[in-house]
Amino acid sequence: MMEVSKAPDPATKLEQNAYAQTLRTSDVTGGLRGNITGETTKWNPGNLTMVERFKTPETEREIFKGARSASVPIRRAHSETVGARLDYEAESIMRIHFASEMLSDLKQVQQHCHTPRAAMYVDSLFSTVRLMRDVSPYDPYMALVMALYDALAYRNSWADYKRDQYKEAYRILKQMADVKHLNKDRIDKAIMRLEAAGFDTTPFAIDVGDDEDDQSDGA
Amino acid sequence: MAHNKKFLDTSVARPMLLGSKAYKKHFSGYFGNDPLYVSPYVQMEFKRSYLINVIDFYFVLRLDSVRTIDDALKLWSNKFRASELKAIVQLMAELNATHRLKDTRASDKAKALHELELYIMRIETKLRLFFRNTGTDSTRCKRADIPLKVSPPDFRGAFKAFLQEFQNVVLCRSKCRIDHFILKKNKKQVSDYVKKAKEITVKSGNQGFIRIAQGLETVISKGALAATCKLCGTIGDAVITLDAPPNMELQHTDNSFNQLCSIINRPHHQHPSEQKIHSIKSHPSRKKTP
Repeated sequence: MMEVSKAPDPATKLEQNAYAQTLRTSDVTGGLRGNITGETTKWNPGNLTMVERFKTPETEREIFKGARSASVPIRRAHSETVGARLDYEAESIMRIHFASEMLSDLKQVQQHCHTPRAAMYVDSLFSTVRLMRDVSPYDPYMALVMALYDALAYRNSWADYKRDQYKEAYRILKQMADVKHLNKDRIDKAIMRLEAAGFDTTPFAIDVGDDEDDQSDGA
Repeated sequence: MAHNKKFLDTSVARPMLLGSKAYKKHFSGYFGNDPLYVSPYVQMEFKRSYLINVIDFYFVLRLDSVRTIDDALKLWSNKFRASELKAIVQLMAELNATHRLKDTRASDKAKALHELELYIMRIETKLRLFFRNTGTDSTRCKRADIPLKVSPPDFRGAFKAFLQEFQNVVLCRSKCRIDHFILKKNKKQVSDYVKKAKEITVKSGNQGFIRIAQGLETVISKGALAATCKLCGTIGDAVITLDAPPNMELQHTDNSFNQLCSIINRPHHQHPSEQKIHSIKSHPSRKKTP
């Protein structure tokens, strides 16, 4: 019987570059990492996915950094994280990737709604949203995702929403993630569907006094 | 007669989008599933009183010399009026807390800018789609016609174009018919307002109405040239009342509408102020039927 041998980890620079090239075509997260977040395309021996790596707390990342020394990608400064729009293909790929992470968390929140366990998935969902904002800020899908984020994150409102509402949010986010050509009109309608499901996408309480208005205090 | 269609003044439409949770709950409880309408003029008032300020602040935050959100807020608070300041400070505090941004962290400026871009876009969407539009604007307000067409990633260009057009009051005024609306179309009603304002004594609760009537009188005495966009802001409640569809009940919080509506027999309903709702919530014994 033939033994299937595992490919050895690339050791030389040439092998590492070749490995990075393979990732570019076969692995979404690995392949695009270098271009989008400003990280080097050096080979990363870690087996964490991109989202997992970014969700790792800073101190933990520092430990990894020390352990892997020069081969660990270096992140850009925070001020550069909200950058230019990605090209169409990269944006679509990133959308599929982030949407699948978010939908998975949303499904779990739905299942664990109104239990302490929901917090873990909500936290994961929020981290993914913030990561997507940093990596793919101008994807039209981001406007929808951020509308849901504001509704849930504002003063821990996520704990008040019901299972059916999460189900509807899941449905809306999934439908929009599947749309090939997302435009503002579709996103606007999707945001209004979130509103119709009871999500307050503009939850910030602002006391606006119009200097031109009658400033009476009502009945 | 029950008026199931509700026409919202800005004083109701605005807190329905920007009010506290308790105040929003009050409105949703009161309106239920009734269809809610606003006019293009009411949408314009919303933009003038809030959206414009947020966009102005966005450009302050964008400045190269402004390193942090805190720098922008300091600059804003030193230069602008109290009402503009309060709303922006509140918005940024809420935005920072929700998005884990720090006022003093330079790296968070870019994130705050992007959050503002998405927020402005969403507010505009809600203003357009959350309420039904009557489509009627007898004043033909040009400012009400100006769209905020955002096509990411060029938020800046879209905001700038909108702001420039909206603030060009000379051009806007040259295209509207507010003078015709006051001096011809609603001549009798406007005269009634002015007459009534002279009969009543100034006291708490009718100062707003008297100020509006004085504004209308200025237009009557000085003519069309006096009807500027600034004055239109002062007499806005009268414009909204006179242009409200007669088959809808006008919803408001401002006291001025009590006189404006009763003089011309327009059905209306006054809602309690946000402070009142909060005081009822904290002291339920004070609750009384409006």
